[in-house]
Order: sequence, then structure tokens, then C-alpha cells
Amino acid sequence: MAGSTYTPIATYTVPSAQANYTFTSIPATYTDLVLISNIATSASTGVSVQFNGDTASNYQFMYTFGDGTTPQFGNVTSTSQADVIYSNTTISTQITNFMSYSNTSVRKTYVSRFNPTTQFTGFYSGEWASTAAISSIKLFTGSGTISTGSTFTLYGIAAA
Amino acid sequence: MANTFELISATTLTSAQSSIVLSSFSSTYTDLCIKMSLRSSDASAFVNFTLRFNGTTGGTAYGTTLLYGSGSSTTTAQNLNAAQIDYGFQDGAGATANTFGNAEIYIPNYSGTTYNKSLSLDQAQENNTSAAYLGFIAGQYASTSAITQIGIYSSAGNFVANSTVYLYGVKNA
Repeated sequence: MAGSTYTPIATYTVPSAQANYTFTSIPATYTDLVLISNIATSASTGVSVQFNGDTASNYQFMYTFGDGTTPQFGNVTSTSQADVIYSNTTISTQITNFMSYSNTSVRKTYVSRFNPTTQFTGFYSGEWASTAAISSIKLFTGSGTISTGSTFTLYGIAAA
Repeated sequence: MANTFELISATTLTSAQSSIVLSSFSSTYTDLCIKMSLRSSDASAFVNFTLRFNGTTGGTAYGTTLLYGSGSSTTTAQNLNAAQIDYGFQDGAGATANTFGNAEIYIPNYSGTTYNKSLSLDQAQENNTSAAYLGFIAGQYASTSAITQIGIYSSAGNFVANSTVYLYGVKNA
């Protein structure tokens, strides 16, 4: 039963349009993290993450999506950020799983379901080339701002 | 420690019916999560299901974007300004016996009244004898009303006995 292992760590409701938000002081007491985003943005844009303030080219990610016409896919390597959300001006549901975020023996990986409503649906998967435990997650838009009332909730998943 | 992922209702069909309607659930959660296992009586191996909220029928309130794979190809489809969330996958009577399709739906801020409602849906139509389908949906319900009712409808035939729908409430605090 997921019950007591699906624990809210922090939740944030955007009070006014802003280009980024950072979850800080993430405890290392869980096994995995789940980020639930209910987001709209002022432009059609990817929303990226950087972990622990790392702005170096230590990220890579892949994506696949469908727009109702043509399935598409691609990858980005050796970049300074990794996309986890794709958003537009319509509110949408996005679900990101960060695996083994506190395990200092492994590089950090994630898989994310992105759903810019009425535009397309797809997946991101990515890696941060670091074995450090993730203690902060910065979310930031590629263009435009995150709309007022968008929400982000970070949950901790404990394996035991 | 707070239990933040709570079972609200569990439905297991004991006889065939064309729809499953969830209602009278609390508005005190932050999000809803639905886990379903569905099979239709229709003779086809693959049968769609649809979703509607708050009894809203007809009109143009719903939008669906789908990406799916069959094991040999990948396809995408979209139906905007529609009368329901489309492209749900389930097994039909033509699929492997006793095999059900599975789906998980996540609906954040279902009780909010500021924004329209959106959902993420992941699903599989299982079939061990021929092509099966794995699909992903972005859905929109263009209403700022709180969701108080969720209707799941078989597009052909009826949901058979032993189809299940579990509704969970998720709290962010």
C-alpha cells in the first residue's frame, strides 16, 4: 500500500507570474521523488530542471511525443539543463518521477509524462551525471513565465 | 505519518454494464488518481472507452491527444472540442480470454474552480496472441467547475464482470 510512503514534502502555488521556482532542503530520507505539476505558462515552452545548483553541462535527456499528426522523438546531450515539463497557455497535468535521488552510488535519472493540453502528449527521460543526493530542484521556463495559480507538489516515496 | 494516498472507492463489477460512474466523493483531496482494469463484451479484440465529467454530455468541452504504440509502429491522434475524452483502451471479447486492459488516470486540482481541468492517462490493451497497444493521453475538460462526478463509458459493448475501478484521493499536506 502506497499510503504512508507517498508523503508530501513541499507544495507551491505560483502567486504571480514567475520564470522559475526552486524546491530546496529536500530531505534524503526517501527513495524516490514524484513531482506533480498542474501548470500553465505564458508561452509554449519546455520547463527544465537543474539539481543542486549545477549549471554545468552535466545533463542529457530524450523525448518522444505525439501531436495528433506525427510521432516525434529526439535527444539532447551534454547540456546545462534537462527538460521535465512541456507547457503552454492551457493548464495541464505533468508527472515526473526522480528515481533513487538520495542514493549516492548512482547517477540520477528521471522519467516524466508531459501533457501540454490540446498540443501534444509524451515522455521525457533524462540523467544528471552526478552521484550526489538531490537536495534542490530548480524549475525554469525556456521562454515566458509560469502562470499564476500553477501548482507544484513534491512527494517522497519510501521503499521501506 | 499522514496517509496522503487514500482509497476513496473500489468498484468490481459483478455483472456487465455499459458505464461506471464515480460520484459523491469528497472535495477535500488535492488530486485524484484512478486505476482501472477493463474488458468489454464487444466482439472486437480492441475496444475504446471514454470519459466524461459532471454529467457533461455533448458540446465541445473535451480535448484528447493520444500517443500509442502497437509493438510495430507508433501513432498519434487528437480530438479537440469533443463531447468526451476519447481513445481509452480496453480489451474486448476478441482478445485473449480473461485478459483486461489497464489504465491509470491522474487529475490534479480536481476541486479547484480557477482553471479548466486536465488529466494524464497511461494505458495498455493486453493481448498475448496478437498486437497489443500501449497508449498515453493528455486530456482536458474545459470547465472551471469542481469535478464531482466521473463517468467511464464503454464505446462498444458493456464492461464485463470483474472489471475494476479504484478511485484514490491524494493530499498535498
